[in-house]
Amino acid sequence: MGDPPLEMAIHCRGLVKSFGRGDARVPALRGLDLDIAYGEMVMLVGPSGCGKTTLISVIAAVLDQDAGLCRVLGRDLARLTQADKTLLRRKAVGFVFQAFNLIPTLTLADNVTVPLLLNGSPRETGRKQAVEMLDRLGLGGRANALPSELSGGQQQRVAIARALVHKPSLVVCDEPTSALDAKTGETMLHLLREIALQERRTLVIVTHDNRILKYADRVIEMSDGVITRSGAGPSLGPPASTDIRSSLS
Amino acid sequence: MFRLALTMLINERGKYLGIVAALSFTALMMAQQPAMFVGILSRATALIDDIPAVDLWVMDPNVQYVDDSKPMQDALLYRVKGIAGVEWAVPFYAGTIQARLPDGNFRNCIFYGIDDATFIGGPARMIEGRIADLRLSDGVVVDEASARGLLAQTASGEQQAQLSVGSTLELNDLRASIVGLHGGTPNFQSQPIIYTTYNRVKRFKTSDRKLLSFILVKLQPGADAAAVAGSIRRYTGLAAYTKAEFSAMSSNYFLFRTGIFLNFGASALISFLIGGSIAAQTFYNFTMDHLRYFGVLKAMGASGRLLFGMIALQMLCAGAVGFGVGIGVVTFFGVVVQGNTIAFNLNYWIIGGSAVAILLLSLGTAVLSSRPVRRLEPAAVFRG
Repeated sequence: MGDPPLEMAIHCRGLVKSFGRGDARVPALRGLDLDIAYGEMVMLVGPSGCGKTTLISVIAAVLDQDAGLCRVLGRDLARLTQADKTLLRRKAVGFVFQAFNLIPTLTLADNVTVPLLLNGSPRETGRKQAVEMLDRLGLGGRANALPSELSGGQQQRVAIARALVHKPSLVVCDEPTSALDAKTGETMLHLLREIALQERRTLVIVTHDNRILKYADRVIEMSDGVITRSGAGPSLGPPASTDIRSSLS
Repeated sequence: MFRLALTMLINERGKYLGIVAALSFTALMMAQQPAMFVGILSRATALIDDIPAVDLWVMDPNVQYVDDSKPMQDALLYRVKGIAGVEWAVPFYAGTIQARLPDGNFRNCIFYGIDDATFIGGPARMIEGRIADLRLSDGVVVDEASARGLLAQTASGEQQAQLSVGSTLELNDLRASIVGLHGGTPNFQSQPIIYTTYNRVKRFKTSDRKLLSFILVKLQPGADAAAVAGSIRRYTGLAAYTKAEFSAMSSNYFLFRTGIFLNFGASALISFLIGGSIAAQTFYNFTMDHLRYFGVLKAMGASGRLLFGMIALQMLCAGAVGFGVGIGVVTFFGVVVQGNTIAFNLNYWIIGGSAVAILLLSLGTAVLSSRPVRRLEPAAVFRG
């Protein structure tokens, strides 16, 4: 298998993952090979059940592979203990979920502060950084609001703020636009790309939404647990230098 | 993270209040029932505890507890006085008498007869009048609570004129004159307690052939209580116990020979089980409602230990608030019933025991509630 190229954030070879046992065993990943470079924005597409979510779960170190190599940010996941994986996720991975998964009883600032607190930031410093991140996403004035007071698009912006606030090297997103209307979805992707890629963070996005594929550097199509097609996404050019907040107005 | 854990719980108002209310109820019952029990038990030995300066209680050997009066011949008093090591010995009568109420009904009262000369065996505290006034004709001393309450009410509880020093009372169809009000500890049955002199008892209890219930003994300086008690047993055939022995004997009788311990114990235990179950179930539901978010935290890198710490802190916080509210209500109850006929003794042991019970309940609930979080795979957050 050889050493992966140094610039690869994710390097998988022969990745296998199955669920269930015996006759009920269902293979989700069948010897998948994948390379994703640092600073690359990759979108995973394919029919339901093709293994997209399993793949990002393994990549994000929330699910153990059965066999094969998966090196993420220079670390071989098979060799990491659960505690090491917890630490890897805490320090280097940001998550954006389909259903936002904001804690409903916490304010927006508190929700965004969580990754910072997990990484040992003092409360006041963490809150300041969280408010700054919310401000970059146009929600600075709502820091003390509860998630239920926001629209779906606003909630997803908070989720993005939470995913990026601790400056992770890898951000995984599961259907980030599926709960949003088309325009809001595109705005979300624009924001995500702007903020995440400014600092060469790697983005892996699972999506069924064809309208956002244009934001990807590369689109990977999966079917039945393997990659069937991979190609460069439409060129977007360098990140816009305009203030993000102005793009929201 | 711990502050956020508390915010998560407190902002879930309905469940938080439900958990606190259940824990308050549990703490309340865990403290109130034992306090009543201890109060009643301490009343059971109040007579022994309230008479200072007595080293030995001498009685019929068949007596099992302080209210179990088995009268003896008066002559035994003189035989006890003659035992080596006895400095003095005085007679004490403990029995009951019927007092006539304002409406003509009768109420059973505890009736004590104390030494005519020394008044040893008298009430621990006089509220009004002097104990020496028992020397006055037909003199009796009544407990203040009964003078205001039980003896000043009709049988149906209707309040009549309160009794005071100078009032008269009819005991066994004989006139008694109240010369003082005492503040002694109520007895086990919370009946009115009336004191008079030992010789005057003979006038009120004409039908009783023997009146000597106990002989109260003071030892000479340096005399060994056990040795003197042995001599009394040997020479008179009577039983002699130190205050501590007699008090323990009486307590043990009420504890193990009556249903009181079982009743209060069962009541406290059932309350603990009911209140604890409600609190545990509500908290478990709260955790299950937030399972998805605990999963998110797990995915974001929260360790299992941190998540357990958050859950334990939430439950301990609810436990502390519930305990505070429960003990506060019990304390208020104690203040309200102070000086009342209700037996109530809330001590630090009971508060401590209740705190330990709530602590164990909280920790147990936290362990139980953290199990689904511990088992949750972080990958579950991607399953929607």
